[in-house]
Amino acid sequence: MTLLIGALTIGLILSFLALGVFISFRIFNFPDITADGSFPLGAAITATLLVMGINPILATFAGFCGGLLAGTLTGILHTKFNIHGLLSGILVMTALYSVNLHVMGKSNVPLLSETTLATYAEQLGNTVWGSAQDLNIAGWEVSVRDASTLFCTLGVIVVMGLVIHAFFRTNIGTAMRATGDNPQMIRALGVNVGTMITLGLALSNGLIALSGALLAQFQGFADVQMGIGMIVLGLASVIIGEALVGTQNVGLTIVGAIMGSVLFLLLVAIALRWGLNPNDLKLITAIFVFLALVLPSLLSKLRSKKPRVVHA
Amino acid sequence: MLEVNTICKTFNPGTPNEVRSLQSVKLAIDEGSFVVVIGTNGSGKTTLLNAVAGTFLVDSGTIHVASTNMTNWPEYRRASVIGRVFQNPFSGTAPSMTIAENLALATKRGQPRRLGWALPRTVQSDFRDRIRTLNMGLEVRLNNPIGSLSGGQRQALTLLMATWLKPKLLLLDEHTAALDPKSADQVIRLSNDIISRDRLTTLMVTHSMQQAVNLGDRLIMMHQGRIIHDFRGAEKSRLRVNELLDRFEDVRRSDQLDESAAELLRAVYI
Repeated sequence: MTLLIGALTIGLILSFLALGVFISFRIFNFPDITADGSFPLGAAITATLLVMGINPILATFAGFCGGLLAGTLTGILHTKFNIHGLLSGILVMTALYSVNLHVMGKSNVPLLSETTLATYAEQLGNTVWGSAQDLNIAGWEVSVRDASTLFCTLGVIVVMGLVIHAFFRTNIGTAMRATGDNPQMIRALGVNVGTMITLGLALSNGLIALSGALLAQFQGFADVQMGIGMIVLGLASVIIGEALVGTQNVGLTIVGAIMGSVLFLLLVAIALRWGLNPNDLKLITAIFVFLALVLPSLLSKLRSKKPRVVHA
Repeated sequence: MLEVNTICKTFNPGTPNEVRSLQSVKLAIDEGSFVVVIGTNGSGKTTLLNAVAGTFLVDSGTIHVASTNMTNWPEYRRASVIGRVFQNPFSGTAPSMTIAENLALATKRGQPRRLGWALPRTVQSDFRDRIRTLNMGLEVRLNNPIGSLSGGQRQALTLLMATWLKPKLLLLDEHTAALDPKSADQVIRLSNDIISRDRLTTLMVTHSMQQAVNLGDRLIMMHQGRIIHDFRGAEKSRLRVNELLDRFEDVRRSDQLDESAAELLRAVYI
């Protein structure tokens, strides 16, 4: 049960990552690999500040801002210096590896004795449910700490999903979506496409860094390696989400990305429980994304071939 | 309203693919004038339009719209005074967004976009009223994605969007070339209605002799990056398709003359 709750919580935390990837990859059609650097950047900044005794909310916000900066940088490399999108992401990601090491001063910062957002969540849980050690939810024994972390994460992601949905219905958010959809048209309507892409990438990486900051606090440490493969994980979540709810409207896609992240992490937890070698996890994630990207066109090709065979 | 002063544009300069698309083009358009541009393929008519729109910056010369020098303005900045409809019906609208969202984008053409709602309830009836003037039954499909519309419907919408805020200059780039004859007719009639209703200063490129003769109060003919004829006023209104074709024939013959003369010279000297 603890395993399941843990997987759910991590899934919810990583849905911030999924939302970030959704913005860069789906709205702007920009495969932004900066994610692999901004995810640990958020964790590094937040963890370092927490060790210094800074308020967890402030520290988490600082992590988010670090991501904003990283995304802005990628956007500037791409739009002002005309560097290929993928390459600008790779450059910033590589640079961030050193930055992260400098921020933390070492490759790993433990947070076991610090006051974090997880501590806040636990305190909140204690005031709501009293300091009983275990809760009984639908017949399952759940510790107050696990349950309160889960519910707090859920609350935060719901609020964030609503905020993002609202943002994409404002004038500037609509212009951003149009930038990804038809840059020629939105330029003719007076929007600076470069600025929009930069803003979008900033927002995307801010969310990804936030995800890293929250994960560090949940698992109790920040590690310079924790970003490896995050972009692929985010893609997997977004793709699962689209399979679940379709791509018809922005609101549904946002919900889909969150659901996709949770579902994917649950599947991973189950697979690990069944004895999947953790070392194979990234390989399997990559193969999964590959299949998800290729299968739809492959299936339609097979389908269109069939009638010809019949007639021949 | 529009003043184009001796602009030049050469693509791929210094390479075998060098194209002198605009060679010292000079053009002044009065406020409220509807100017039609025709020319052979590669004559520079679309390049002229793109130069004014800011798709690229010209090599030399200046461009003024409404007495403002915007020679070095980027494309998005010029959008505050220029409305555009493209040749490709897919270019002017965002396909995965709804009709209402596209219109909302157009209502802010050239204005800063902030955090206000793009689609407050109050605009919906306004949208419906103005879209009804298209007579395409689109007013009931405000929340459908543009991608589900036909080329003609998209072009009509793009036209509506380009003129939603009255532009100081309207640029139409062969905007019916990719449509079937019936839709083309409809879009042309609509364009003419909107232009005469709002007295829009318009520069329209077309490939259709019929449109060139029927529309506008001035006609410009381009060839090899230059303006070679400029019909105005009574001369323009008297102009018939046959005469226009004759002019093209003249151009073709003088081109051939150039070539045969070159051939002759080559035979003598080489």
